Amino acid sequence: MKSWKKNWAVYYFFVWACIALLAPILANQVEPNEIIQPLVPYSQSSIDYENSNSVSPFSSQQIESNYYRHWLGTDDLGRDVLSQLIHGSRTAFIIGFGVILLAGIIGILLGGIAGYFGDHSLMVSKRKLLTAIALFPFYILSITTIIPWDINAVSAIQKLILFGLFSMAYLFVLFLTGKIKSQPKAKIQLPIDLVISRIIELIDAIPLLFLLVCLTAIIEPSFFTTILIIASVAWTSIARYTRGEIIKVRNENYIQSAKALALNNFQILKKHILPNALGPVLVSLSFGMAAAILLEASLSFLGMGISAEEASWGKLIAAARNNYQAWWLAIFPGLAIFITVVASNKLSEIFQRKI
Amino acid sequence: MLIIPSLGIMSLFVFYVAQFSHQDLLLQKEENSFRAVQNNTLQEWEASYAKAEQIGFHHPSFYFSIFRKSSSDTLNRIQDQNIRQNLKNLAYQIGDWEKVNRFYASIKTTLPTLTSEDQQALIQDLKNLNLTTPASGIFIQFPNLSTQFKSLQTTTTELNNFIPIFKWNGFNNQYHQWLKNVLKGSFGKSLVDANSVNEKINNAIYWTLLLSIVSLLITFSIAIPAAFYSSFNPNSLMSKTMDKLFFLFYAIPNFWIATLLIVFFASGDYLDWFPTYGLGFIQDDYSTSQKVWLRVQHLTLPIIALSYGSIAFVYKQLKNSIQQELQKDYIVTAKAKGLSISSIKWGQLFKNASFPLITMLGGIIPALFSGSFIIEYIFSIPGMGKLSIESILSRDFSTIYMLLLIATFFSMIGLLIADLLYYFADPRVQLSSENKERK
Repeated sequence: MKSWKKNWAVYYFFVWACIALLAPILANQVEPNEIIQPLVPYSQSSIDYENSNSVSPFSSQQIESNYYRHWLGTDDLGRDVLSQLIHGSRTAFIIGFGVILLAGIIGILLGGIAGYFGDHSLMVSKRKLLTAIALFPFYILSITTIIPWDINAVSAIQKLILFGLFSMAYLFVLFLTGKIKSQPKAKIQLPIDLVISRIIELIDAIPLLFLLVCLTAIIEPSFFTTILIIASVAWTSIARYTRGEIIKVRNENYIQSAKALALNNFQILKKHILPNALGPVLVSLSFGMAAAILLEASLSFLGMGISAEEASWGKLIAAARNNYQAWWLAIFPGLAIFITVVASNKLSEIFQRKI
Repeated sequence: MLIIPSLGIMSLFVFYVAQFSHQDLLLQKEENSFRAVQNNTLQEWEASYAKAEQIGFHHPSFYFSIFRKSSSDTLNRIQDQNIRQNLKNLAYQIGDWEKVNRFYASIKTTLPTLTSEDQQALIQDLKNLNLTTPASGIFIQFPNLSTQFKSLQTTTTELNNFIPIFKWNGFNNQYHQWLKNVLKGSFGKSLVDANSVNEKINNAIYWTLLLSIVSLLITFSIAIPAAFYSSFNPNSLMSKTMDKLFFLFYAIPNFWIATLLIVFFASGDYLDWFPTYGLGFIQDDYSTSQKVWLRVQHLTLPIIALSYGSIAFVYKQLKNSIQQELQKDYIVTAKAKGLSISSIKWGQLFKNASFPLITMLGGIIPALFSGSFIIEYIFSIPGMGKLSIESILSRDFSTIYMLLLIATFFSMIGLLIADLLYYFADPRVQLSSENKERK
């Protein structure tokens, strides 16, 4: 427990989370009759015309009192840098944790399946497999064509109900074919590890940023889609890590004895494998979060990140490129990114030590 | 041997991405034209059809198509985006493409008989067509159009939306044609500026290769001695500072460093040592040394920004691996035999500790050719990274295809070379994947 208290990264994450959650209260446009005055009297998009054209934090500013001072200067439109930093931390927080949640679920699930079953232990009855393969095109067909996603005449609930009906029909047919009395020894090995590993290699073969930029070019970027896009490439490293860890644990003696005791796969996974493989997986998650924050900042820097109204650290640094005198536009958001990335790397040390 | 299926899947992926938007770029294929497509007169309308046919865009896009019974797979022949979308919606609403198509056909036959203003009005009506409102605008003047429109309004065969249709298109499709050209080695012309893609990539790859090779050499020549020094003198002040420094380097985002370098060393507001971006312009009367000096000036900052991160990475990995190797028995044996420290270092230790370097080399080979997006973008170096960003932003799909294929190809090659190098560094490594997981 000592390591938790000693590590500054834990406190940093706590403060970061507070700032991110309270950003609209901390930094907002001042209303005259409001009871709670915000700490920073500017929102991320409020423009101070008197102090436009990048005012330095140290130079004299056209302000009524020190409460209205731009402590970290302004950008070329006269927007407060401190306020943008605070709102940018909210963006980074949402993107970072969103990506980790989504990529973590996909990565741990697929990596876990690949690692635990390997190529030889997932047995499926031949008949069931053949039916699934035969039905699969029809299932995809029903999703893409029978359920008319882009027709407004059908409401969202109707679409969901249709989707559910088709899924149930699909599963029901699979269930029925499994019930048919088949030949003995008609089970075959499903090389699930091979399939998942190949998918991971395939995604890793494309340069990450290339893929991301391609995707943002066709999908309208918002919080949700940015998370989706980054997670769709970020899950591979988590999956690879989880797979490696579970393969290590799988061959331990206590797993063999659990198998000898005829525990089922789910019980073994839950009671024996997950607790032992969790530490290293958490390490990969915290690295993944640092990578996600960096990727979001890079995308915003290139002008392809989240929509124009939202503040982002990467966007602030991009603004510095248009105005080389304004060092404050480059230094502060860069420091924010840097400290956050170091903190998540530091956080991984805790998990590493716990192993 | 994963290369062929990967390239196949990649080409499918890019092709699918391209389907989203390349139809509206149709007119851009003309020489150097960026102008927006506005088919407001009959001539422009017909011209765009003729062009589509010429390029082959009127072919179906893939070997087979799946569509709803209410819709059609020939919608991609309609070149105007608004009209296409509108007709598609109409077909979904009434559930009968045949009727909508007949309506569209009779508009097309009516058009040439009109004055040019009426033509424009009718095309505009077609773009804003809406079933819920009664027929208005120019439609009313033509009895056959307005009766057809009314019959569209009364048709209700929405159930057709739920019937899927599968159709085999044969080999006469866009994907097949494109693939055939790629296999022949002609990658077509850029959709934006009509230069050939091969030429564009040839120009770009020179700068990217130059940049990455120089930065690779710098990385190895700094990181390898540093890692050796600090693992043999772990308690010296020098190696402690290096540990701290490289840990920080590892976490600094490169676009931040690049921006700071420009702000403080190149902008002229603080220090004016380097030019801010680009490659400089070589005048005719420059001597060779002047030319080289110009390039060196322009490439110093980008190379610093490219190298510092990888120096930190190589240092960290190599140091870890050297420290692990130092504890092994063969080092003790070698010392006991009386071998000199330097022969132990470079003869035995380096070979065994170089595994992380090999892993890195596998990752570097694709990066050599695809370049760094951000660094090339910041410093405006006309390499592969900048070409990629530019072609993505301008939706120049014939260039993107090629860049993606090149990137995928070289990352596969990189993996292959890394595997082979593992084998040479340690012949116990088996090339089949069978035993990897048992480790």
